[in-house]
Amino acid sequence: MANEKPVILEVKNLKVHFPIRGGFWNRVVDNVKAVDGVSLKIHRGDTYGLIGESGSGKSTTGKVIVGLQESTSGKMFYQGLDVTDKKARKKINYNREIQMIFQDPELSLNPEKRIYDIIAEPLRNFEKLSKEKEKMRVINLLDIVGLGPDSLYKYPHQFSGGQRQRIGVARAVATNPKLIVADEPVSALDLSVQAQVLNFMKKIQKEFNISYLFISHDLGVVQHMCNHIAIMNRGRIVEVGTKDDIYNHPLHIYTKRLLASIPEADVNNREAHRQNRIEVEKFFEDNKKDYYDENGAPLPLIQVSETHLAAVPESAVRGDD
Amino acid sequence: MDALRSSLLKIENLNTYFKIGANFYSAIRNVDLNVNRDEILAVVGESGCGKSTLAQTVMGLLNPKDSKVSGTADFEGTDLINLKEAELNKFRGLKIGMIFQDPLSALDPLKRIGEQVAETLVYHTNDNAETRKKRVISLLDQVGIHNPELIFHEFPHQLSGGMRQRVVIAMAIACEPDLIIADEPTTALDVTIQAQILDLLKDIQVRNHCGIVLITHDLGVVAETADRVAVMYAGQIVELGTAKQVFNTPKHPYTRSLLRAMPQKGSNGDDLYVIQGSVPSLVKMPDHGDLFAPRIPWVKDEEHEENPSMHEVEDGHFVRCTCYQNFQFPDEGGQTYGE
Amino acid sequence: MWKTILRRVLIMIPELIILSVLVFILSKQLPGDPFTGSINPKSSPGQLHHLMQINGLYDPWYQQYWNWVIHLFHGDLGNSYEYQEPVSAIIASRAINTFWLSLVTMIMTYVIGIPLGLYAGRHEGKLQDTLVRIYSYVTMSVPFFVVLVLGCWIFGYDLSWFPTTGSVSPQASGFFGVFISRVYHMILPATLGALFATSGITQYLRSGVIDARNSNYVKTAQAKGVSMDDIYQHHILRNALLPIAAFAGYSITGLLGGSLFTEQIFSYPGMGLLFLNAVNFRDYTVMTALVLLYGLLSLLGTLLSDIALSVIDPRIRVE
Repeated sequence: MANEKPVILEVKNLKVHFPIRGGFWNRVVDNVKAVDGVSLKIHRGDTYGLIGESGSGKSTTGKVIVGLQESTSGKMFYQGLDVTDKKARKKINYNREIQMIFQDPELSLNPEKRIYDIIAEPLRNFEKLSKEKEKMRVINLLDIVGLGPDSLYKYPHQFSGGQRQRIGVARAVATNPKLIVADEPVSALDLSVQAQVLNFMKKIQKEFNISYLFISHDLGVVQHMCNHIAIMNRGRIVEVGTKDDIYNHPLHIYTKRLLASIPEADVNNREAHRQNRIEVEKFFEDNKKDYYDENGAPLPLIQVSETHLAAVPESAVRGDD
Repeated sequence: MDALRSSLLKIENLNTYFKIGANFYSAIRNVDLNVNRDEILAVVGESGCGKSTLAQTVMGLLNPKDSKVSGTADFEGTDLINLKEAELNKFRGLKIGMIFQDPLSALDPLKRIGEQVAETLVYHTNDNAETRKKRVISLLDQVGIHNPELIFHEFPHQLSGGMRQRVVIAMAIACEPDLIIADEPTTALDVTIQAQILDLLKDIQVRNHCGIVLITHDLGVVAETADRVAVMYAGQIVELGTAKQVFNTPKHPYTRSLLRAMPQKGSNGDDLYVIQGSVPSLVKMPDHGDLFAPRIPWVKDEEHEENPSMHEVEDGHFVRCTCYQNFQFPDEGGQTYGE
Repeated sequence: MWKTILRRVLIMIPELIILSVLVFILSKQLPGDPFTGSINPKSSPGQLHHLMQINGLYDPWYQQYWNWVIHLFHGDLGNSYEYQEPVSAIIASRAINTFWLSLVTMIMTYVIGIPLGLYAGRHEGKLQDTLVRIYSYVTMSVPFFVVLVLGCWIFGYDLSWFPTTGSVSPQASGFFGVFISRVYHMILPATLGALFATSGITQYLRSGVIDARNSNYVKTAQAKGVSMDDIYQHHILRNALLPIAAFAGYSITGLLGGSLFTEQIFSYPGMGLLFLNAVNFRDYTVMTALVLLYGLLSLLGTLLSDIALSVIDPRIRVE
């Protein structure tokens, strides 16, 4: 089943290398390959999940897309136009159409500014609205995320964690963006609050046909939110496919290991789950060398089905599935 | 099976108050809880529900300047509450070990790993330096550190998060305590590491025949590891039972709401259940009535108790307040009254 | 470890070059020339011209700079216009006084500041803490020279407990007598200097202790059954002292700055007094040499701080 929706953003062979300095003269002796050849396609109105553990390069990828991090090499296309270069981005208002939601609402909202100014800031940067229209827009945005106009003149500390994250969402959608990069948007939140924020993200997606790049380590949340999922490990994508491909037919040992590690709220099959996890872990340790090259980097992706790619040795595809 | 397990810690009517401004506000209220040998008891709840305060109260880690405690926590015949520091230190580290959430900040940045693990032994054993070193190395080995002699001389910042948490666990189990209190031991870790650490805790519990109090916000972690579960809301235990009881037949509206709010396996992306309103702050917490009532406004007042108490619904399964009896979510037919 | 230190020293080389160029340019901008003091009414402009020529003063600037640097390395900083003596000799005799005064001030600062800071931090919010804080706010807000003048007046003139001028009494004799007399002369200025400097250290240390005590590793240690007294000794003290130790090297700059006031008010024959006199008498060679020396000492101070920090803090001990 190919995705018929138009591609909004395409990233090709993105690399971000950070130099390691060392030796007596502090010269570059090596590179940390934070992102090492990532390619992905995000479709209009879709939620693309990028999963990985800390240090996998998932956040760095997101930062490159919103322009908070320079890439070492690679290309980016927004609605078919090359936006690798900063100047090209300016011309087509890229920075306005791509926004970001951060992990920690506490850190991403300026504590000294009122909610009105926080949400109006992107509007002021990109749109010249009259005072009245601007205020109407802000009230409207607050309404979308379920906050009343009485919030306008309050400060971030007067809100709960969930409300602050909703303010972050309101700010991100202020300029009618087409794509929002959400970097761990709910990992700092409690379960009940997380549900609120996820519901709002879904709601505005339907309303405004927004695409999300949803970066997370929480596979439960990703499963709930995303149609397309990529698993990142050591700077590369090791497996990519539809929700069904990844959760029901995982091929890469890392994906299997990750899936087996998620705690499940299923007390009755606890022992079976634990047994499975131990087996998968053992299989991972035993077969690691076949799935990673001599430098420890994951193998190149190979096409397994129309929607499913995995960084597995040829033999694994023929043998399994 | 429960009868076979001997009781280790018996908490009765425990209250902790924090000083904010000039007044004291209650952070945990009337907590009654038993911890047995050979079990993992999970205390689960969202931030601010008092689960960490409960642990710190029992361990005597609260600053007496801005807190007040009443009630008892009987550990094998000694009440730990209001014990003098010197007396308390005969238990801490020796009989009760504690594991903290953030393994980086839980380690002194200026001291070598070996020295920090050995510290527990210095205070509770008569070992000489050489024996101590051997024991530390064997402890590091026990918690799954493959090159303990090397790690012995490292500083905390040189280790990964998972390794640091193993070191913190090694410190807690150094004297083979009867009780281990683990406060969010895996929250700062990746899921693959989390699974390893939880397995390790389970192994230690079986090997040392100790009791573990596992404090967490993660229902998945609870379902995977706990024998019994205490659910906390606003400083109170609202439901208590075996893991099977609590997960298979949850009774309290809060427990049921939490399980509903959780993105489930095989989710089709439908809206998640949202608990209305929010937890009131410590200062604004009412001092009587069902504290969860405002979050389920469709439940009639007469369904709630004036002063909600724990009711035993089946053997070992307790629920606070009578409102659970007829409780239904709105989409199950629960109706909104009043407003 | 040694590599880190060596690299840190090497980094100082360009800093030193920049410093020397700046000082050289400064010295060239100043009016007069090295012979200003040595000409007499009988000298002819021709003679002066000749002197300038043989001393290379008509050479291109880089040639002059190079000669100046070579002289520097030989300890030759020229002659003082005022004293008609080699600058290096004058400074050497003064520097030793300033060195001792600064050292005593520094020791006094730590002897007063560290216990006060630890004490206040440990008793945060109590009366003891409030008293220490009042003390440090007072010493912080009163200008340094006021402290000096008041101290000099009260303890020097009014009560006559301490001498108020010079570095040693002319009547003192014998090694021991001179030593006692020197210390006696230093006590008042050093104590007053230290009083002024402690407020910073006390406050720093106090908040360091409070931060450390609220840190999780202290909770961990408590949970291990370590008594609070031992926790202070083994964990809190070291962590809280870290910024103070790092600051020690930087405080050289502060001490040198302070010596300008102290030495002036107590007529203490050190570098500070020499510098002020040099400014007053337009003794440019001395001024230039002292600016160079002050710059050098400041660089040395930061070097010491960096090394100290990398020795104490394992997180900075990078390979």
